[in-house]
Amino acid sequence: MVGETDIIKTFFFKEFKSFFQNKMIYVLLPIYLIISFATVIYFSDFMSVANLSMQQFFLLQPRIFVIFIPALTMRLWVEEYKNNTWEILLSQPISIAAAVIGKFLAVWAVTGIMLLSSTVLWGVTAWFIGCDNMFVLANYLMTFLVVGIMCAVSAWAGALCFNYIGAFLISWAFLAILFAVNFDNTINKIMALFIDNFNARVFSDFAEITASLVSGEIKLAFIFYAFAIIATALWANVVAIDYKRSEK
Amino acid sequence: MLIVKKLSKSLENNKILDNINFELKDKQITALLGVNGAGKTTLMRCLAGVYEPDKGSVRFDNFSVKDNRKEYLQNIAYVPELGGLYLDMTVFEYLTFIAMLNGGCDKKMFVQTIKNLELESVIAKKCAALSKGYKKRTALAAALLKQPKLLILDEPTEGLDPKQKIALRKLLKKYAENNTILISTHIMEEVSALASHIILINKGQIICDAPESEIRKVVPDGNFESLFSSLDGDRKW
Repeated sequence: MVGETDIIKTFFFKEFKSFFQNKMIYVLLPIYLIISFATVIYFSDFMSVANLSMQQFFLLQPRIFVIFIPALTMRLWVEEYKNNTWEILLSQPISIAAAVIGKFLAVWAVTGIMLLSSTVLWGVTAWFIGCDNMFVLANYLMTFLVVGIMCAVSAWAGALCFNYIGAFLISWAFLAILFAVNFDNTINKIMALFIDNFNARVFSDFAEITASLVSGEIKLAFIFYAFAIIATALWANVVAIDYKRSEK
Repeated sequence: MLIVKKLSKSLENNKILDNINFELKDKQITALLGVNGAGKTTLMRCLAGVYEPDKGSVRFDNFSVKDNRKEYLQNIAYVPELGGLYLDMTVFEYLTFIAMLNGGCDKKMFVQTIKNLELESVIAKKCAALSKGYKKRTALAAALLKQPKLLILDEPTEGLDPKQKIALRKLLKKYAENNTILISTHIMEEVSALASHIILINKGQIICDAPESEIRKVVPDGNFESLFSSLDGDRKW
């Protein structure tokens, strides 16, 4: 019998390759770079103030990925239903969990490439202004982790739908809620009207966590939180596929 | 041997299969017949592990689809009516992908399967660019790569030209010498040419389960077309 790791690898490479084969990445990547650079340059004081940490850039990244991640994850399961390949997958001697993990890792890797491509800005900043490279590196790692959470949640939300538009919209809505809770503090602001000292945020400040990573006092709670959310979303993804096995 | 006991399945609150019981003996081809909407595809999906039955059990060689899912599915291959191919993959990539999900396969067998199904000319083509007949054969090749003891085929000759149909029947007959095959079809010519056993399903229930030779005796003029057209859900054979 095939090991779970081999199945995960098989799905990872299949999905990763298909992002490049269907040319989606070639459309999304330039748009992502243009939006990332344009928002940083035009909507912040990026070039006019000393910017040792590229903080404005990293604060905008999760907001930008709220649009791009649903566009990447919407096809993960919808395409299986559309092409009727879900019947083939479910009749193979594999676990659904292995397929879910493989697909998730492929999307996460693609977002990693997108992030990596933005290091051009790092180079430019370091050359012209100068920056704290350790801090920027730590910021990249933390952003990659946050993007991982978003990929897992979005992949799960997408698995609940049978069409692309539905998968995109529901994924976007889930990410917007996640964002409102943890980054924008919107939920707290609303709930504070009704309940005193209400706090739904699990991690309070992205910059503070990054700073702790650089200084060596890594906020283990955040790392644990990130992987716990990813694991929960992947588990929910498996349950969603399993539910469709009984109900579709 | 495949043993199905008291199998029931509902989809969106409609009972599609109701208390299905039958056995498939080894080394024979069984035809699953029924009008559209009779429950053939749902039954095949339950046997292939795609759907989870609401009630009842499905066992093959003492492995249960519910309790020993991986072991059960290792002995079974399913080819759905609508191929189920990854359209952005080439035929080679698709066959390799399916083989890898099943632990890989012997290179000689890989080449032989491609040759048997005459896929050499399209091996580097994208699945999206294949004709219906080639798509069917690619899906069948993927199923045969794992050398399943039970092969489940939904409308296997649909879209094939007469020459391809004859070649496929020959291949299936040879395969059934050592394995079991369950096919669903609307083509009565297929039943006569391939099946040694027939299961008739109507409105989610099995109304006939007998050897082809016995059914032929009771069917007017020995004509399976009349058997098919007599399906009204109330008649028991």
